[in-house]
Amino acid sequence: MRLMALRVRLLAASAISITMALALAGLGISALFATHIEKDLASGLRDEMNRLVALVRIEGETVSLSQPMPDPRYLRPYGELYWQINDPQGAPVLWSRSVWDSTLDIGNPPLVPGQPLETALIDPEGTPALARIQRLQFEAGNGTRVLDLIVAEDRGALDIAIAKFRQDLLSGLGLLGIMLVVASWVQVSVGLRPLAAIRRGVGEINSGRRKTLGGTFPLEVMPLVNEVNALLASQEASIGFARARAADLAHGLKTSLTVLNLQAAQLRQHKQGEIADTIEGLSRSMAETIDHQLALARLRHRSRSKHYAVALGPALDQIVSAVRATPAGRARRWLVNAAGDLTLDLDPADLIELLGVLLDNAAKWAKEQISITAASAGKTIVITIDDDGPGVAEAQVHMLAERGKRLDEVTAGSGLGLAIAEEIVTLNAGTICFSRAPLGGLRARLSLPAGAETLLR
Amino acid sequence: MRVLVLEDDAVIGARIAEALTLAGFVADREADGEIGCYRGETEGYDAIVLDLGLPTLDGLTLLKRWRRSGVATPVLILTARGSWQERGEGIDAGADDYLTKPFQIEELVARVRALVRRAAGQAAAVIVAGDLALDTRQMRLSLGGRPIALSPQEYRLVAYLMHHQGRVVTQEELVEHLYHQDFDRDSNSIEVLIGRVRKKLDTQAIETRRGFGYLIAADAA
Repeated sequence: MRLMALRVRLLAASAISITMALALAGLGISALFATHIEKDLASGLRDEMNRLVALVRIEGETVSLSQPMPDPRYLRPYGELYWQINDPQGAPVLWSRSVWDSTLDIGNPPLVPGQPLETALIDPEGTPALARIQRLQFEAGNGTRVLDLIVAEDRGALDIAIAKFRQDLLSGLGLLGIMLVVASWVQVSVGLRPLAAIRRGVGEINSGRRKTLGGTFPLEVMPLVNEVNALLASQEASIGFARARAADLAHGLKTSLTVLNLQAAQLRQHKQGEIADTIEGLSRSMAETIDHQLALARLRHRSRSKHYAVALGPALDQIVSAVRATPAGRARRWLVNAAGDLTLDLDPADLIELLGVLLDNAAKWAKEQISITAASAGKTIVITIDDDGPGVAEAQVHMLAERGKRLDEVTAGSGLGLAIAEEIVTLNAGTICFSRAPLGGLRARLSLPAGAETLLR
Repeated sequence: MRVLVLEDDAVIGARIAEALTLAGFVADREADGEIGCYRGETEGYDAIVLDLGLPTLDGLTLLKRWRRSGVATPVLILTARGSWQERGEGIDAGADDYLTKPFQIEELVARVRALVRRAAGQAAAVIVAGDLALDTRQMRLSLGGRPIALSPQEYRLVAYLMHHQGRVVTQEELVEHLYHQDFDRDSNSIEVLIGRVRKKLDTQAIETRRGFGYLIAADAA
């Protein structure tokens, strides 16, 4: 989700900057183009003015041209190119045929002889035009005559050319923009690829398939990979350290409790059985509290997001062997029926502890036989542990996994075992339920998430 | 029956040894893992009580080393941690039984007794050979239902022969399994002991195989 957001953010940023850059470029290029062709038009008008100045002839009061202006557009009514000669009061004296039945209205600009003026006006056809006006003094007999010369060109064609250029420019820049956005999408994808690889790597660490992030990464990403690996190592080390310290503490406490127990046995030999019983009871209860707290501490240290594929068969064999080494386990018949290739998504230590607690409980209560079956059921593995012991009345079944609750006060045990089993199962997203076994005793039915290997089969 | 007690805590070690002695065993104590490992390999013990948390060499490594070098003596491990992981590892390493601390000394003695019996192929707590019946829990011998009073040393002798009934046991083996390591092995104490027991039993239940050793036949007396 974050990776997507980053991709969207990078793409949005690049799209915005590309659009802004292209818009600025479009405005700039368009302005340059307009300026350029307006300069061309102004330069053409300057040439026309020079020609007109050269052709003006004054004879007495009569103003005429010594010959017609060469451009044929002057001869066509509304021919887009115009000239006109005004007296200083603004009254037209002479004009081109193209002006036809109208005049070039220049208004009343401040004109200084010898200084040409460029201005916009409306031509006889009623469209905008660019005009060049120049006030000149002509020799006329024994005096001078001041005349205002005007040349003007319709800028319609120019405006069409500018509009057409802008249209072409817009489609060109639009296409360029799309190409740049696609290119930046490719760039972002390539750039984010190492992050996707890290995400996959972390996923594999979570699923228990690898311990650290491996492989080659770009120089910029390598420090992050190294930091993640260092963090993983430090986390592993601190969990290991905490567990070792907790185990050492338990070892120390239980050694002292053993001494206390042995002293109690001596008291019993000296006819002080009551005190001995109290001491032994206390030491047993303390030892069980230590075991329970150790088990809880271990459970809480465990990463809940991590996934496993722990083989059930070897774990079951190990615990059956361990329970069979005890006098209770040795005396029972063990029937194990579990498919050989089942795997569970369960912390290996949790699985051992869970099976240990449940099989030990079954061995403690069974008369002769314990039956264990395990089978895959979709995404879960169902393990059933049956014994042929006295079982538990239906009304009491719900009390079984309650912490410290004992339904039998005679047989050794704290009642914490099944509570720990329940905690392990809950933490690992499974379920445990107790009922009456077909053999007559208790049935513990576990439903636990299957490991990746079982699901792949 | 000799038992090696490998326990680094002096009080626990002493109490276990004391209880085992009271139960008719000859108990040797050792606190150091390396020395204990050597003694387990070189001396003929009938059972070993092994604490997993030993200094210098941890119990699990020591047990694996014994099993690799062919030591088949039954081993009862004592563990303070009590996690099933550790118990499972102990059994995988070759332990025959385990007990978690704190334990009751009677429980430990019963477990050691059962281990010794099982190693000798005897399943029941009362071992029978013909008319002879040895109750290993009560440490009582009876002949045709009549109790026979035995001294601790005499009990050890009969118990060893009863555990290994049907097999000729040499005098050296008896010395090894009935006395502490520092016992004078040249003395004729075994012969004296055999003579005393025979007189009490008043039968030829203990046979002498000249040049080989002694035997209680499976169908003795």
